[in-house]
Amino acid sequence: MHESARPDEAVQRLIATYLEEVAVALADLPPAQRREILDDLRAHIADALAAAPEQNEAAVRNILDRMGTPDDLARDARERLGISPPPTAAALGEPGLLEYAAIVLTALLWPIGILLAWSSAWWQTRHKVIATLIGVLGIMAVVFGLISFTVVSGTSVTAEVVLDVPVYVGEGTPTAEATPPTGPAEPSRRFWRQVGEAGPRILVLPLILLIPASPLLSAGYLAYRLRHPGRRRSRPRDVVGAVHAT
Amino acid sequence: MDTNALLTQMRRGALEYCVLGLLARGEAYGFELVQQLGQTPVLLTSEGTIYPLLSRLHREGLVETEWRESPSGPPRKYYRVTPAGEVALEAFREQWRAFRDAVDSILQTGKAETGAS
Repeated sequence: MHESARPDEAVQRLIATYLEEVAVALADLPPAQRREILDDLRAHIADALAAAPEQNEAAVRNILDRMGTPDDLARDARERLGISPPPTAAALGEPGLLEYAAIVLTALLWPIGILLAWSSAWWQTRHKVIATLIGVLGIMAVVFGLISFTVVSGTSVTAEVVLDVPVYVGEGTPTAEATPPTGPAEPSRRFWRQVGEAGPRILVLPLILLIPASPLLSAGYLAYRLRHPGRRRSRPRDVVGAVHAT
Repeated sequence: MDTNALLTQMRRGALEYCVLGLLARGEAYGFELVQQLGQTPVLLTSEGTIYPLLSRLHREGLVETEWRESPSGPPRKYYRVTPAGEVALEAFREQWRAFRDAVDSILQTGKAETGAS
């Protein structure tokens, strides 16, 4: 009995490893289809193993050999299901002149650079979107900042006029009714008025810095993604997790 | 190498209908189908490739599936041809006959002529 326990473990491990490899090879398939194929393969292995004269490692290896390699299965599945294979880093080769020109121009002449980046197949669409958004949002932040600055400073000017009136009146005609209520309130009003004037300016400073910074950030992101292209679509960890879950 | 690639292409087109044809004889589960196809090794090289094919037939509505308990091990998915599948199979039968006859008539013409003269 103990002798059969160990081969069984090895058998299960062989099957699990094979299915994991298939899952990774099929990573670019829609999850539902991938799961269906994996379930079918698992059932097939169980049936084939039950039909085999012996349920040992050799029998499983034989069954898995007949099933085809994970890469063969994945290629066939893509052709059958009409899914184009994912462009791999190897297929794309090394980044070329276009990619480096795109990064440099994104920093210097943002609109032209980002167009070049979009014309390159090297970056994934979502990375291009992020790089574009960094640039666009930077410019939008500046625009909104300037608009809100002029609005806020406009209201603070009118507030100044209103606030200045009792001060002027207080100095010009020292009446007992006007001075006492405005007197104690005035230091705090002054303080808030100063904040109201300085606040937008403090906010605007980083926004102004963003004007040259957003293309730089955009270019920096593209450069980062050139070094770290990332896996396309599903990550293998999710896929392997799906195998264990089912 | 070339004949291999050619065979792969021919197999790809015909295998779907061979599976449909087998299922038209009676419902079957995946491993059964593989065994039946395996009797003619020309048709199926990597056995696992039948499952993406079945998945596609299912999505196209040419076969329907049903899970049933198996006497040994996990439940089995049985495949059955739908009426749409029957229609597709009949259409392929006619096309295949015409195709086969056309290819045969050309390939055998040479033989027939040399045989006649």
